[in-house]
Order: sequence, then structure tokens, then C-alpha cells
Amino acid sequence: MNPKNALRLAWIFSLSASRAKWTGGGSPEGLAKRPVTNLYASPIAFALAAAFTCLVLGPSMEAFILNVLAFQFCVFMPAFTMFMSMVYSLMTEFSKPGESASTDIVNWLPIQAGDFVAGSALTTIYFVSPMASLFIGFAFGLALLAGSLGTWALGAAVSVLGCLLGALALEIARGAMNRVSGAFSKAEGQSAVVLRMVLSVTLIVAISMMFNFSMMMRVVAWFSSGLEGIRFVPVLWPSMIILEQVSGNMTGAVVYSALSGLLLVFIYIASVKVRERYWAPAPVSLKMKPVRISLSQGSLGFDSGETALIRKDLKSLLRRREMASILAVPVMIVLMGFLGTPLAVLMDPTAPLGSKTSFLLQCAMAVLVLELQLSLNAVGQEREAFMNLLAAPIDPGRLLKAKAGSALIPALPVLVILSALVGLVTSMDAVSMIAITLLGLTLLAAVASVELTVGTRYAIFTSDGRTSFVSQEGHIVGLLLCIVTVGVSLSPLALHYMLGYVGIQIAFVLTIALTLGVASVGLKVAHEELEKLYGLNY
Amino acid sequence: MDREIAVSLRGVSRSFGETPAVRDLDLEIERGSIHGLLGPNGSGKSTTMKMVMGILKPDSGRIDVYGKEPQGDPMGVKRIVGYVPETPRLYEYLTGLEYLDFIADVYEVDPEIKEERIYEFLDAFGLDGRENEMISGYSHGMKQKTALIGALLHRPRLLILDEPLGGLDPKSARIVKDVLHRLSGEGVTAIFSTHIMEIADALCDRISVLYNGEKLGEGSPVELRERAGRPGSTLEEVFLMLTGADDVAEIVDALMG
Repeated sequence: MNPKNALRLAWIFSLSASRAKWTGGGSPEGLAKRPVTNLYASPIAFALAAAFTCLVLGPSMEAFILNVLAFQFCVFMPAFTMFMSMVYSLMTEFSKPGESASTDIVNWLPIQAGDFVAGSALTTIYFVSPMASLFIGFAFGLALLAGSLGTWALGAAVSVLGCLLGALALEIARGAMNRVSGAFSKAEGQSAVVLRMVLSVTLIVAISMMFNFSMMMRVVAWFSSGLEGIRFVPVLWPSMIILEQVSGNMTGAVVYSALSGLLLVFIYIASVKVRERYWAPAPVSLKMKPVRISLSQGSLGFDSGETALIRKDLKSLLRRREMASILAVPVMIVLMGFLGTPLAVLMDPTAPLGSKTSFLLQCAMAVLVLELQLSLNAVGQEREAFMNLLAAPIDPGRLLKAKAGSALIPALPVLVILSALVGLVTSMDAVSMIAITLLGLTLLAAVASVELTVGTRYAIFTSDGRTSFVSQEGHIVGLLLCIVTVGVSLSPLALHYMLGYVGIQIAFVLTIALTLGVASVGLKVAHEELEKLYGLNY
Repeated sequence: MDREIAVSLRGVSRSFGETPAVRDLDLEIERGSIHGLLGPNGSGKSTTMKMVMGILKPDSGRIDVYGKEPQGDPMGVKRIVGYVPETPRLYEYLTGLEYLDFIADVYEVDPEIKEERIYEFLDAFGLDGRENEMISGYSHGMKQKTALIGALLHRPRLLILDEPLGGLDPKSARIVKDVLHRLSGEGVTAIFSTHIMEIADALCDRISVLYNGEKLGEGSPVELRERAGRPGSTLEEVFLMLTGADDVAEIVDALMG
């Protein structure tokens, strides 16, 4: 590997993302000049998180809890940043188009696969640095109050290694995805398309889970009763450095440092080998069984043009490899929910609801994250083909309706299935089940309308370079607004449980009304955003 | 008989930042004619077409397409226009047939005649038998043909084709030329851009030569030659003279030392 080449590539990849929304023509200005946005954002995120912990969260905690939390955060910081860099990248940056020309350069420039993989991993670190800084800042606040800054400093340093490991693991996932694509490049039929997507999602989930420390600890627990087994979990070796150092075992710290180094080398070699072998996705030329052309008259309140758009987007969801990561993250969340709560507890109707809270919350989160991803990416996923829509007789109102439809339709069956599952686990009566589903439905509509607005404003239509369907700024704004939307919408119910000021029925009706209000305002703003897009017209 | 004007541009200008792309352009295109926009890269051809299409707003001036203003009635204009951009971006995850089905639905082509029309074009452009393959596996020429079929499906009254023959094999290029001539006979107006002189010469009723966003000349290929004082010259020589680029030989000499 040539480090200079790797750094040059990382610079170019990051720059391509910085300029993805640059439409001014001429010479780039301001933040589009250099990929430095995250170099500013990361210290700000760190400072905000540290200040919040020191001034707001910390003082309200008991000293014992504070010390335990500070210790846990510092020890598991590397393992957490490793997994977080994977998940955050999957959500924001992994969905770059397969046909992106940047992977081609190794074929005609004196660049080795190792340079490319290292450059790509460094770019991932650049992308995740604000989120990692947020977490490290949070740990800093706790450590400062607990007086364990030394442990924090070591944890923060090892976290860089954690981020790098996560980023390299993503390169393995990229190569593996290319392998799956290649395997189906000449396949035939709808089932091949579905199988390709299922395999891609499974691969991403499997690789991500291998780097999830909580998941690996559970796996170890199946084989050994104590925590001794975690010493053999490679993704926890960086954390073991800190643990050994804190317990004064310097030999152990040195051993785990060496093992972590070896792990890094091993993952790097593995990612280069996988990428070398499955470099770029083979152009897919799947052949479908001849089908009769649909007689589109429109359905479910959509006209024929809107129905055609929805059908196209649903096909996109099943056929485009970039969509695999959008589907993988909710699957991962549900899986973690299942693994986090023993099946015996889930299936026991007499078990207290509190023991199932984590599972229930994760089910709800999975549906919301799916909706967030679908609606946030709905407009940007058109890429350059958005020009087709601008040239076609589809006004912003019809486009919004179709996009809302294609963002909501895939989430609805997931909502129904998970609601049924929740009903089963909590032995809920039929009325409560219907109420939960209705609430879920309106909440999805609210999230969809808000995220469509964000997705339209921050859409990226170019597929050049390392760009997602939405800018990084858009992802962060989308994530924050999703939290705000859910918080505001559910506030009457939350106030009912916290203060008991009104009955549950009234709180429920107020929640539904408020959620529909948010959805309606969201749609109005989304329409205005789309109109602006039509007015801007490239 | 009065000639019917299908498209007119009066004093149309458009800049991108400080860079003017089209300057004070006047153009009148007769119904049923094939009008070529001829010019080197960056001369304003694509910008002009996008403004006629209603995809770009002019900074000043007025555009009229069959009595409709692209800015005032964008949907009305889009319904009667078929557009193929310079680099067609198709939905690569759809099959050719699915893409055309999608386009037909968006343009609200009567479902009863849609299938017949799609297969008619697929057959004419030599894509039959490949229609159930995903577009990602198509060659550049096949994608170009698919985009062209998409632009023709709803029987537009105006065709706007930005470099439509780039990437097409000679047979397909010939088909496009024949289709354009036939449509012209049926009263369909076509605006198309090219920098290939032979194509403009063979296909266009009238040509506008654009350079740096300005119209340097307009007329039939024969008129342009005569006006340039070079009746026996090729259109390429006329073009190079008009655009002030007739020093090509000197440039090549300088390059080759």
C-alpha cells in the first residue's frame, strides 16, 4: 500500500461528496472548495456532547452510577465506534451507486487495490467522524465528572482503531455485495431479483453483526457461562486494552494491543483480497420473464401516472443494490431486539412488560427507521433520471403523492407484522392492537411527510463519485427531525403517562390528531420544496 | 398559404452565474419542419432546447410552443413534446419494456393501444427480443434507442432531440432519420442538435448555427452555403468559417510541431 495514494484517494472521495450539491458552475467556493465540513462539525459535536453531559446529564446522576457509566463508556468506546461507523455508513454513505466510476480508476492508474481500500476506509472515517465525536464527547463529559480522564484518553485513542476496523469491515461488505451481484448478473426471472436482494441484505446484516460487540457477547454467553469468553471475541480486543490497563495488568494491555494490531492487519488484508477479487459490480443484465404490459388505470386513489411511478419505485427497492443497505438496517434492529430479550421471556405471557420493553422499542424503531430511509431517499434515488420527470407531464403535486405512496407502501406490511408480533408478545386485546396499528400508521405518515421535505431539499442527483441519494447534512437533519416528529406527535400520550392529566382515550385521540396535523404540515412544506426543485430546474 | 409557426423564441437569454449560455436568441420554427441547431460544444444548443422544453427558465425573452408558454403552462407543453436529452438517463433497474410501459403511463397513453405501439417501435429499432432484459445490461446505442422510443410513444407534436444519433449504429441512425422524415410529413415538428455536419445537411429543412450562445446564421443548408459565399463548399467548411474556427490546419500544424 502506498499511504500517499491512499490519502489522495480519501481526499478525492471526500471532495466528491462535498461538491455533490455544488450547482453554482464555475470555480467551487466556500465549503465546496475542500472536504473540511466534518473537520469543523466533529469538534463542535464533541464540545456539544461534552457540555450537555457535564452541565445537564451528569449533575443529575448519583456518583456511583456516574462512575459505572464513565467506566463502561470508556471501555466500550472502541467497540461501539466500530459498530456505529458501520451502521452510520450503511445509512448514509454506503448506498453510493454501484456503477460509480471511481472504482474504475485502479484499472488505468498506477493505483493498487490496497491504496483504494485504505483511501475508501479513511473516507468512511471522515464521514462518521461527527457521530463518533458526539459519542466520544459524551464519554469525555462522564469521565471528567468521574475523574477518569486518563481512561477516557486511552479509550478515545483506541476508538480511532475501532472506527478504522468498522470502515474496513464495510469494504468487505462492499466486495461481498459485488460478489452477490456478479452471481446474478445473467440470471433470469423475478425470483432471481428477489433472491439477489435477500442475499445482499443477509450479507450486510451478517457482516455488521459480526462487528457488533453486544451481539458477539451474547454468542459467547451461549458457549460459556461467565464473561471470560469475551477475551476470545476479536471485536472486543481493543476494549480489552483499556480494561487491562485500568485493572493494572500492563502485560495484558500489551498483549491485547498486539492482538488488536493483528486484527487490523487481518481485516485490512481480508478487505483488500475480497475487493480485489470482486472489484466492481458486474453490469447486471437480468432477464425477466416476458410479461404483459399492465393496463394502468390507477388504483388506491392514484392515477395511472402516479401508479406507474410507485410501481417503478417498488421495483427499484427490490432490484437496486444500493437499496440493500436501506433494508438491512431495520432488519438489523429487529434482530438485535430478538437477541436482546430471551425468547422464553418474550413468549411468556406472565412476564412483566418491563422485561420486554427493549424488544418493543426496537420493533418500533425498526419501522420508523425503514420509513425514515424510504422517504428520505425517495426523491434523490431518481438520480440523473430526475430529468425524465422534469420533462414529463407530472407536476410537483402528483410527484409528491406518488413518492409518499412509494415510501409508505413497503412500510405498511412491516408495520402490520410487527404490530401483530407485539400483540402476541404482550397478549394485547384486539382493540389495543387496532389502536397501536392506527397510531403506527399516522406516525409513519408524519415521518414520511417530514422526511420527504428533507429528502427533496438535500437530494443529490449526480451519481458521480462517492455520493449518496441525500447529502450528509440531509441525513443528519433528517435523523434529528425524525426524532422531533416522533416526540411532538407522541407528546399527548407521553404526558398522559408522565402526568396522568387526561384519560388514555383522550390522550390517544389527541395524539392521532396531532400526528395527522404534523403529517399535513409536512406534506405542505414538501410540496413547496418540490416546487422549488421544479423552479430551480438544474 | 401562411406558414404555421410551431415554436418561436424572441430575445431569449440565459446565463449560468456569470457565464452567458444563450444571448438574445430569436428563432421561428415552422410546423412539420426539421430544424437543426448546429454548433460546437458549449454553444448553447442544449440550453436552448431545455428552455423550449420548460426544464430551464430563460432569464429574459419569450418562448412559445404551439401557442403555449413553457413557463406559464409547463404541463401543457410537456404533454405535446417528446424529449431526448444529450445523455439519456434511464432507470437501469427496469427492463426496456418496463421502462417504456412506465413512460407510456406517465404520458397517459391509452392503455388499449399502448402495447401495440411499444412493440411497433421495439421492432422498428431492432430491440425486439431484448425488451425483457434490464437496461443496465444494454449498450449505449440500445439505451439511446430506448430513450428515443420513449420520446415517440405519446405521438408528440414537437420532438426535441439533443444529439440523437450519437452512439447509434448506421442502421439505427438511418431508422431515426427515416422516422423523423415520416413524422415531419405527418406535421410533427422536430428540433435537434448536432455537431455532425453530414447529419444536419441530410436531415434538416433549416439550420441555425449557434456559437457562444449567439445565432450566427440561419437558413436551409443550401442557403447557408450561398450566404457564406461558398456554394460548392461542404457545410463543415461553412460552419468553420461562420464560427471563426477555419484555422484548424494551423492548430494541427502547431500541435504536431
